[in-house]
Amino acid sequence: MTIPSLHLFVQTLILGVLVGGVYALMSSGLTLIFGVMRVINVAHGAFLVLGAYLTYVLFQNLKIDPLVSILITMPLFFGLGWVLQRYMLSRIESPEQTSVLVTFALALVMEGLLGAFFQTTVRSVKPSYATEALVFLTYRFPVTRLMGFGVALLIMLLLYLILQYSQVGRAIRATIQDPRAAQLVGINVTIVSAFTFALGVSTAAAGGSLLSMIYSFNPSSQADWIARTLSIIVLGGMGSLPGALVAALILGVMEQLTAIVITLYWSPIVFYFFLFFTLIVRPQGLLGEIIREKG
Amino acid sequence: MKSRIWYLLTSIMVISLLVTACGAPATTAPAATQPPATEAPTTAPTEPPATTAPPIKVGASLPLTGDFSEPGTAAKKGYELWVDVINKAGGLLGRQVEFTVYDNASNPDTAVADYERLVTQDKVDLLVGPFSSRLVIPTSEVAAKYGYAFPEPAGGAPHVFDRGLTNIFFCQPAPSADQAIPFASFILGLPADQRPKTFAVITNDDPFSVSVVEAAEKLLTDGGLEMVLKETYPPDTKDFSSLAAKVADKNPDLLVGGTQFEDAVGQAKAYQQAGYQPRGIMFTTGPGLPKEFNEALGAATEGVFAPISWFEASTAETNPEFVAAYHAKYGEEPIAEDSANAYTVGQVLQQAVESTQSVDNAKLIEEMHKATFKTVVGPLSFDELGQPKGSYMVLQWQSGKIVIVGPDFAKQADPIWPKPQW
Amino acid sequence: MTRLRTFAPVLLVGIFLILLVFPALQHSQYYQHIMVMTLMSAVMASSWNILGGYTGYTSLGHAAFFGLGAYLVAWTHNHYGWHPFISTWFLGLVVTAVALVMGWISLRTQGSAFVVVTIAVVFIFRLLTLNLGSITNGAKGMTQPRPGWGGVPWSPVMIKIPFYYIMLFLLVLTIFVSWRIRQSKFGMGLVAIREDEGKAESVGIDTMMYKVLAFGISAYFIAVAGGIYSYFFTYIDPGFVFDIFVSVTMVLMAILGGRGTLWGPVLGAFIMQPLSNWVVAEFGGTQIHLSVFGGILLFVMLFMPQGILPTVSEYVKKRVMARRAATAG
Repeated sequence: MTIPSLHLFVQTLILGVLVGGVYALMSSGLTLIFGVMRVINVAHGAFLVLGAYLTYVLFQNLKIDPLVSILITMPLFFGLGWVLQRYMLSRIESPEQTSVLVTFALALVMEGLLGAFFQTTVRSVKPSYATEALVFLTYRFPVTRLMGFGVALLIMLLLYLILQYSQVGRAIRATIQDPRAAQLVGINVTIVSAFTFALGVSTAAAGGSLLSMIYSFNPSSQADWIARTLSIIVLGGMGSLPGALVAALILGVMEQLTAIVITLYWSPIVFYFFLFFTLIVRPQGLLGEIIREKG
Repeated sequence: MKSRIWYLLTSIMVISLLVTACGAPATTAPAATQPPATEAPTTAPTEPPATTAPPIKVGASLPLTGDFSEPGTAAKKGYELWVDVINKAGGLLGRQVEFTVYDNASNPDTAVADYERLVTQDKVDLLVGPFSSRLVIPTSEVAAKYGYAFPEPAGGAPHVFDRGLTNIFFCQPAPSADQAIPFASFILGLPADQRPKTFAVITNDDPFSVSVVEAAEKLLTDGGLEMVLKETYPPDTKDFSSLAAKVADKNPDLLVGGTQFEDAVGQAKAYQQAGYQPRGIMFTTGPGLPKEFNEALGAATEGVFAPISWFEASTAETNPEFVAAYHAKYGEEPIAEDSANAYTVGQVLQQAVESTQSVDNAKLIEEMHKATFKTVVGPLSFDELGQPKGSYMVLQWQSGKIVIVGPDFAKQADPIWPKPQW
Repeated sequence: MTRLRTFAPVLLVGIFLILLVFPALQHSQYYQHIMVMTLMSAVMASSWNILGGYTGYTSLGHAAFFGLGAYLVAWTHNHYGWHPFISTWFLGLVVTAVALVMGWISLRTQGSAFVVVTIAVVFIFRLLTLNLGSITNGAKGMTQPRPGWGGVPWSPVMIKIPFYYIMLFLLVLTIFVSWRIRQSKFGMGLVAIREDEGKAESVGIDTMMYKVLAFGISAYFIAVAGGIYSYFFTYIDPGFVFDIFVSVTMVLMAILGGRGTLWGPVLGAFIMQPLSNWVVAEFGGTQIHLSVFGGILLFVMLFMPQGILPTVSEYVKKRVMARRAATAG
């Protein structure tokens, strides 16, 4: 155990908050999907990695900056999510039981295909500013993380605005609250589900772009990312966007602090610990509703 | 009703059993064995000559993808070059060499399965080892089980040699524990006003890296330097930002990094982001890959040290021929150390076979313990555990190129000290 | 019909006899190796089935017990010299005790939450094994001495044969226990939980205790298999034994063959394991075997969620009904 100096402590907090914002974006889609469809999309990590690979390809071949490529990848993934939901996921009877297995299978298929196309070599996107950092009051703000944080907050704000003020957003929130009541007042739950899933997957595209320039990745990274995002949405409360943000910030900071105070070896335990114990002790997380699950 | 299911179930089981039981019994396929990797075919490009002598089959499993993919691919080039050269010169004992290589994706379990397959299915005559101590340790057990000699290009960690096996031969000039000696000597040999006072050890939890940096740690501490930080991280770590922040906070003069390629790059980038400017930095693996390291870091390679077993301009006997053959086959790219190490393995194997005039592994093992071999890393001989008796070298990146800066017997240029800012 | 009814057990016995003498028929080490792995997968799938099939609680965490068994056996072998073929049966009980505790904690959740909790369990075990390096050797993994007896290594020619027979024995044992459970009141209680847990509770079944027991028992055979496996491969590391994929494989085999049936998991294993070996051998470095597994799981979940045996039996029933209807009246 090392007790960090004040400077190191604050620097770590900064790193934790910056990375927490990005984690929040990555988890937002997952929590929305659960809220509306009661589906735990275990393939979300694979979508993140797919987004990262797409960004990588665009960067390597067309020199498109990872942040700019979000404008391309998000619509693409929206379409992908729509198709997947309408023509595959909607076939499942009793989604609460089987969605984990089905989406897990999907994740495996994706991981295998990515491995076949790209091999397991580790990749990352290295824009020109990859090693720079802004310095403010002797604290360092790595440029990639800072920009990632900014973009993440921006997209989450947009998401929030859509949910609060648009018609489809209201329909989504109504469905999250009570799917049967929503249907009774005339909301087409099928379309809402497809829309939400598509929206969720498109945020994975954005998350993946950020991932690609901040971290390195290969197909098997999807397991790390699903572990992280699941922990975040569970802690935050499944179905709650603000909850995901709060939980992501908390876990991001704790992850970085653990690396400093103890060692990098123990950082992942933060996520698994919260995942495991939240589900046992307080399944609705910090800001979520109590999920009535049938066994 | 139920019985119908029984019938169906059991017939399916019978079918699968019969297929397995009577499936192709292990034959010695006379045609060249095709390895299963779906990438470009990996059999050596040999043309079976008009002679009727059966080919000598050599097998290996290498990490062509995954954590060790860069040095693994370099090793494959070295092996294939050796097979090429030897076949052009008439083969081994007059027989063409047929080389089979599988990709174990840097995974020890796959590597073990691959070597099992090479011995029991493909029935190879000879084996050569994979890259990295981590893969050599379990696979050498397989070779020992079947009585095969196991000359290998990159497994020098202490645990490789302390398991009581006698068939392993580490074909580099010195075992890992001794590889840090030249670098440590350089540091300790600096004049007092330039010598670093503090250092940090940041290492990947890989048996090879750990053994090299711990040896360095001991030498430096005995020499009067103070270690202010020691951190070990899991081998597949991708995010070094918090670690770099911790290092930057302590600001050691010298950084000793136990690394493979990816994490050397990862550490270097993270230190840049964290604003840490060491006066000297050494990585155990990574800088020795001339093309990839340069591509990854660009100008930031300047001044980085690494221990190295071989260099292109060396005038050791057989090296100039190796270099020429390499460039003829692969073009003008700089040659990675790992290719030279793999080539050395081939040389040791070849000379042992030629001296004993046989491919009997027991005789080869005996010969490999006794003889001195002429290789591109110089004259090479092994002790009873298979550890080589020789000395390593230190390289430094200067102006985008790798230069040997010590010890004196190989020195090409003076080292730059301290390291220029990133 | 009655002819088949007597025919089937005869066929079963026939298969068993073939299995018994298999190593004498097939000398290739490679195929013996595949059969050992197939038997092991059948054990694991059948064992998982005791929880996942009979009670319907899908656990993706049973790889944890496999790994725990592997490490316990490897560790005691290296430190005390206990031979895996003996120690694994007892160490399996230790793992069962751990499983009972884990079950008692995680069975407080249901449905998807339960699945996620079990996933977390595997990750946690892997992390702990990786980090507590002083005990487990961390990422370097644990090796054991070459398989043999009394200090004498077995000759490479017959080295797979003892493993084959011990796995066969383990499989027979697992099927036997699974069968006895199915016949028993305990087993019926488990099935009741699967059908309607609320109703089962109201009828007086202590569902929590039943589930925890099933969780524990299902861990035993998997742990024993893990112990034998560690000796078979002589090398284990955290990443390989504490891998969600190991769990998914068990689950896929059980579901493919017929979740909740007695022989379904065995059938699933006999289909998937040789297939998996072939895919890995042909396409090893590319990870495409993951896609094959995922694809099969996807197909089964979407189109044949009951698995082969029940689906086939449904089909046969319909045919017989149709024929009866046609011949009647």
